[in-house]
Amino acid sequence: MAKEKQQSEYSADDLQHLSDRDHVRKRPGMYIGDTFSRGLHHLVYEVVDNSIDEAMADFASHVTVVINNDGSVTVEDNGRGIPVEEHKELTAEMGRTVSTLEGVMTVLKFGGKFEKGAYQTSGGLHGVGVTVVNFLSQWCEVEVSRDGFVYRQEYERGEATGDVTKGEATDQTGTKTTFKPDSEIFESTKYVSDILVKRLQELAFLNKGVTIIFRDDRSGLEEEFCYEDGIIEFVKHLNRASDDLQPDVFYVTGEYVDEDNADEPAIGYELAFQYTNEFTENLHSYVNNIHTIEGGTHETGFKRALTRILNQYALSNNLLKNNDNTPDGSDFREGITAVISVKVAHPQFEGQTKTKLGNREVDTAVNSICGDSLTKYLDQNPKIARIIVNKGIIAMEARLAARKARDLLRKRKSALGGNALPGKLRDCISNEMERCELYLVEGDSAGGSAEGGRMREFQAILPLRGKIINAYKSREDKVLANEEVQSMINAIGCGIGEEQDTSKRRYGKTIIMTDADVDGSHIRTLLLCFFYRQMNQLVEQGHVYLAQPPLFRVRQGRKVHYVQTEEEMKGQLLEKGLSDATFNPGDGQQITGEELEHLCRLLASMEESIVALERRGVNLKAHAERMDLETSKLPVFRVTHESLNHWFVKREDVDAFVAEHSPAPPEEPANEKNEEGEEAEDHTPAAPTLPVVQVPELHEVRTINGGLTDLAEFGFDIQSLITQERTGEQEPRYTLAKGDNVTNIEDLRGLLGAVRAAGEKGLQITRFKGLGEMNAEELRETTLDPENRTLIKVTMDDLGAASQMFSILMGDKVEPRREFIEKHALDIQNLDV
Amino acid sequence: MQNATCPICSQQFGVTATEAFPFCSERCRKIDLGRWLNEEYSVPYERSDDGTETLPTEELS
Repeated sequence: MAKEKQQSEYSADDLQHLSDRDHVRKRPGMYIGDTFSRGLHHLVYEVVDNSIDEAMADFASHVTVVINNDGSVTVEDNGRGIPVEEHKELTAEMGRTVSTLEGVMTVLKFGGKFEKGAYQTSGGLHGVGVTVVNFLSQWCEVEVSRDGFVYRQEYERGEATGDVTKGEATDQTGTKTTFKPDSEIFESTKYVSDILVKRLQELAFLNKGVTIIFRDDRSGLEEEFCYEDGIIEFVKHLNRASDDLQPDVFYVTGEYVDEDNADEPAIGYELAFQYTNEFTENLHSYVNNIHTIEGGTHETGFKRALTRILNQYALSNNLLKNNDNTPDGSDFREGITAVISVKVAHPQFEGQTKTKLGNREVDTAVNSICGDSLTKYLDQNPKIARIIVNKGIIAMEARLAARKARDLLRKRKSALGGNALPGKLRDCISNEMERCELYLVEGDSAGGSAEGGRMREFQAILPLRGKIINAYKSREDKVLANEEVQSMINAIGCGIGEEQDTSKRRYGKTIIMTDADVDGSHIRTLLLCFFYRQMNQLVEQGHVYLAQPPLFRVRQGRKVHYVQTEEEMKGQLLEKGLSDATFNPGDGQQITGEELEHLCRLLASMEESIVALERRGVNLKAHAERMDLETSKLPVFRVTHESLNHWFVKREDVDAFVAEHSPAPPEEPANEKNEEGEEAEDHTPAAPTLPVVQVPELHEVRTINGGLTDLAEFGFDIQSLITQERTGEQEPRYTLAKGDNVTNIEDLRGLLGAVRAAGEKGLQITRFKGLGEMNAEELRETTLDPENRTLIKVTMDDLGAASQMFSILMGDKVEPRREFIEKHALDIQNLDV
Repeated sequence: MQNATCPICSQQFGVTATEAFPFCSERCRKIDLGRWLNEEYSVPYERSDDGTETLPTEELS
């Protein structure tokens, strides 16, 4: 190798120096990591680091990096320039005149001998300096502009080829280093501009205000980076493709001095983070500008502080549902993008690639600084604090849920050679899947009847019991217990979530059978919601059904039949009551047959509207007095003006009234008149701000008006609908005769009820309050037997509405939920999910 | 593409863009499963013995 030849050219005084160079060339990996791409590019960074140091000490503003045509690299800055005068100590050591420049370029660790500022970037792999670059270059040239002149020195494989020469005059200062990596050392000496650009941009982020220019003369590519906001812009850059959860970037910077060890050098820190709606953690940490890929104590300090402070905040603001589970560090780091940059005087690097910071004191420093400033930040930004904490809680939930799902799966598979069927399942005999049916039955007594009434050959029963919990002080809730959910999943057998396989289901049909009351409909909603969300394929493919148990048993003599809905029951009673019935309106006239049926249906349709009107607080009797005599119409519009109600039949009249009483131009704010001024704002509403308040149109009155027109054809007016005042006169207004029975009716609104009551004669009607009230035979006859039963296939068609219903019914918001239930409680069963 | 709102995270998502419908992602579906297994989903319970849940039978007569 070159060793012998070079040794012979130099005196013995240079021995130490020679062995430095030889050592580096023999074991380049110890200094620059490797002799592949990483090491090759590292040469550039070593030179750039010196220029950055000049920039950070405010002596330089620009750093330019150029890949030249021949593959050599030039790094130039406008700093002070490396001193070129004779270095006394070195001259004495070497026995010949040596300049500082030559010392920097050819003596290892020489840089440490003169001041580089508070943050000396040396240690381990990094900061070995430009000397190593020189040693590993085929050739190298340094041009220093200083004291009015340009000075140059050239080197070959680390050896100066001559002394420093003084060149042309200049008014600039700075250092320009050009080197060509030695192909004897490196696998390849071809620079990749993407790699350099990425690192140079990173350096520009880490060193705010420094302009870094990159040019690749091989391709013409040119880039310029300068960031006045430093790592804040770095974080924004990293988050450019994500949606932020925080409008701004959290940022803190300063120097940390350990008060107990004031002699220790200060630790410089700079930290920025921002949350996005992503699920990954994006943490970039740096020590003295070196990217610590393996992390280290600065990262652990930050992580500990983040976890501690966010948990503290969650706890003191009652954001955790229960205290058994608290988010851990990884939960709180979901979606975070953070940049941590510390400056440490004597960094210790550990780890496989020596990119892990080992200094314990940095952990303490970052933890304490970050804790204090984060606490302040959260207190000042409660909205953001809540968003961040909630994100962590969701992350925790996802983590725990994933674990639960895994356990669930393992439990299923660990059972003896297949599915562990739930103990409560009353399975069927057949195992022809298509033919088999699974009834999910809510309630124990119902489960009993179903078990007795089922067709054992192909019908299986799984009784489910809702678990009652005290959700809020004022009400009880029903949940599907954990075991019930598992039983259901295991019995059906098609799996859940992403592991659904409907071909593995154990039954052709899964049938939900619940009581025909509100509680039953709620349970049904709960079950459907579960299917929709976790077994959506089963629903999509049409394997889920609703059983339709009857609501009424009707017994007439020895004959029994069943009626499924309220509507149907009413219809049947009306039909039966109408036959052979005669209505006497009191003037000798008689209404029967089709005419009477017509009248009854008309009254039925009006009844709903009258009830709706009365629910608004408008009494029919009072409203009748407001009838417009000209048109015989009841007023449809109500306008409240100065706490008086005004009624109108026509829209035009409303408009005219409103125009006439339209509000005067707004008065001066009332609080100006209030001389005390103190609590003025709270009292202003006393003055009427809107003189005219218009109640929305009373639509039901339109229906009533229409009905009145039809009623007139029968010879009735509005008075016939109003209860007769008790005047002492006992004479009934109307009578209904059916056979020997005569019923007195006070007003027309009572006719419908009288007809139905007449229809009920001779019938024994039982309303089932629950499935359990039916005996096994009844249940079989009406709901289980495929010959007689009605099944409703659950479809995904009305998903929007159904999904909305689920979330309202299950939501945490009490008010909309209560409203919704009141509105829909009675007709939930009509909602085709 | 039809959009839907994820019941867990309330984000809008394209229904054809996910395998995890009606959720935006498998992750949200897992969270949902976790809530079922934690017995967090409930419906109001109406006692059947106090008669509030049934239609008054007088309406029939």
